Amino acid sequence: MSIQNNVTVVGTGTAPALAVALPKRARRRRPGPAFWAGVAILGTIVIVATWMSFWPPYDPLTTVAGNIEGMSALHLLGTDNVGRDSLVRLALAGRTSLIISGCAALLAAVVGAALGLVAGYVGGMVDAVIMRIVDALLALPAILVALVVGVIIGNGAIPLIISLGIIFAPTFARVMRAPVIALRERDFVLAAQLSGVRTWKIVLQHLLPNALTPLFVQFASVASAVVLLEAALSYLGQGVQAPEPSAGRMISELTRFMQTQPLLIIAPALLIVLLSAGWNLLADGTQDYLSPRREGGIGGKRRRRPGRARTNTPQTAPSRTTSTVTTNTVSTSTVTSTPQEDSQ
Amino acid sequence: MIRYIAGRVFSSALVLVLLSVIVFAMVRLIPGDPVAAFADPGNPDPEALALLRAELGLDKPWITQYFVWIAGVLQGDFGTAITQPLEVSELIGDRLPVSIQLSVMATIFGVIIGIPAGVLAATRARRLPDHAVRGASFIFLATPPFVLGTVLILINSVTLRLPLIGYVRLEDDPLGSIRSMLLPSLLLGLVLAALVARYTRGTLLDTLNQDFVRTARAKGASPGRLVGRHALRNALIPVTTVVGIELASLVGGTVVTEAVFALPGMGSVLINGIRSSDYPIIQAAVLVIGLIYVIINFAVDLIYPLIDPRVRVHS
Repeated sequence: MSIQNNVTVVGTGTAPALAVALPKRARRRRPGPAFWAGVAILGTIVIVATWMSFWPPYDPLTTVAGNIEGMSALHLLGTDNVGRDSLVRLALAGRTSLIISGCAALLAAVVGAALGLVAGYVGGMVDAVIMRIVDALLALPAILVALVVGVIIGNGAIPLIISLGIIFAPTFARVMRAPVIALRERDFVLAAQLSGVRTWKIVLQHLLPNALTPLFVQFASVASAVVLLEAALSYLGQGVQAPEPSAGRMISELTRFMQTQPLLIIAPALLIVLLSAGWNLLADGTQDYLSPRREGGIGGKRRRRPGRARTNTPQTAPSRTTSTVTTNTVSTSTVTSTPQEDSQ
Repeated sequence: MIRYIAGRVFSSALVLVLLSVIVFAMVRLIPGDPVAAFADPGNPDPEALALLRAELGLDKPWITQYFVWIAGVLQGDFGTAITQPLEVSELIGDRLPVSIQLSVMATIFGVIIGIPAGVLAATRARRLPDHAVRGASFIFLATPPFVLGTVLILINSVTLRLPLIGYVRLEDDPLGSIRSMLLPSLLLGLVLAALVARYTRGTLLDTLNQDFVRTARAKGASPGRLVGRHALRNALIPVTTVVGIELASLVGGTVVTEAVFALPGMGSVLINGIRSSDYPIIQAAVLVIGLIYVIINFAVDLIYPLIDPRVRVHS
């Protein structure tokens, strides 16, 4: 919502114009530490995972040493209960998780943004039908849908990407629709319509670029949610299947060795937390960079903001644990949209 | 106001109808024959299976099956489970209270931890307490529940030594029941608290920047009064919505927590239903969870104008 306000206030059509209209210091803004921390975490995982995929020091699927060895120079993170090298397996698990989260969030973004653009731009019955279907899908906890869809189309990486992509598409539809409705009435869109620009071109060239900020933020926070959801599915035995390494399943299988070698649990747990936190930091950093929020407490510096207080409720959906994953985005958008839509 | 309520009723009803269609279609897409469980795997008798299908109504077209199912659901009859001799409505009636109790307790934990933490962070923005709260909430939100659960179990094993598993029913022993659910609800509550703290901090900061708060401060209100009497009341309005919706989604979203603590709630009903491809159970579980979500959302929408006069004026 705050993004929408910025766009409205600036009153120009394109993204560069928005930067021009902002004060000089704001224009030279660089992404903050949160953004770079996210990039650093995900980047490190990508580098290690790539290295371990192309030049693995050990075969991730066969026994290479004694069972449950501790850290050593040969096996940096030790070995698991059947003597497989933990570092290689974790790196591959991280790779799988990163690919699944990125691809699923991308699929969700494409499908959801398309739905949101159509619903917001066409309006009327089309909007009502699409948004009610979106509501109905969001009424189901993500993990339930993921479990049922997993049973329908099977387990493994590609079915997971498809099912998680479908599950999170509605959240993008909501995030996309609100700015599109605001933009639809703007002069530059009307001008484009009057000059006979084709509808699909208006939607793709005039509306989409102006509504990209929430889309980026949503992408990263959905990716974070996907990481947690994928881990939970694997923990329940429904995600990536053995013998492919997966952090969630490592935790469920190795909990019984927790007393002997805590590292067996700590390392995969840390991997999941880092992946999810990395995406989250990226989301927060993008949000701060693209639409700065005010800060300050009692007696802090005040800054004038356009719009009412409620329009500034936090836009970024902080990621939630898997058990209630979709609803994080649901709740945010409901907070920002429900009362206002209904009141207008 | 009446138009507002009517609009909400209509769209909630529409969502429910769509939900039932989605649930029904989704369940039909599950591969696997539910009557196969009765057949001798080595030598299935096609005639007996056909007879069984006819008995369960599985031979009729999907449309007919859907309306037969819906007609039953409207009378509170979810049919009979296929793989076990059990009325589905009885099973749900047995398990739903467990999930509701868990969700309510988790919400209580979430609110009593989350709101003070959020207030602390907002009133001391960008100082140590703020960083601590934000850091903690960030970590809780990025940690999968089974990891958090494992940590809680470990901590519990050296400190409080609360019972880990063995759910006690609320009607049998209220105190013991609450005790048996302390750990799982604390786990869910911590995650909710992280979310609530984030929202409280954000909205409270916004409110503290408003003119009426400045006026109150100019008139000499103490910081405590400023927050408690003026800012917090306004700031908590959106937080109420978040808590309501989270409560709604907890009811069905506790699958993992139930698995970690072996609780007999809706999540385990659904997982068992999926594992045995028992259509009526899956349908009923998913529909009931969706129904609760829609009802609580509806309730939140109705409460909203009561606590926020601005919404009332605009509608």
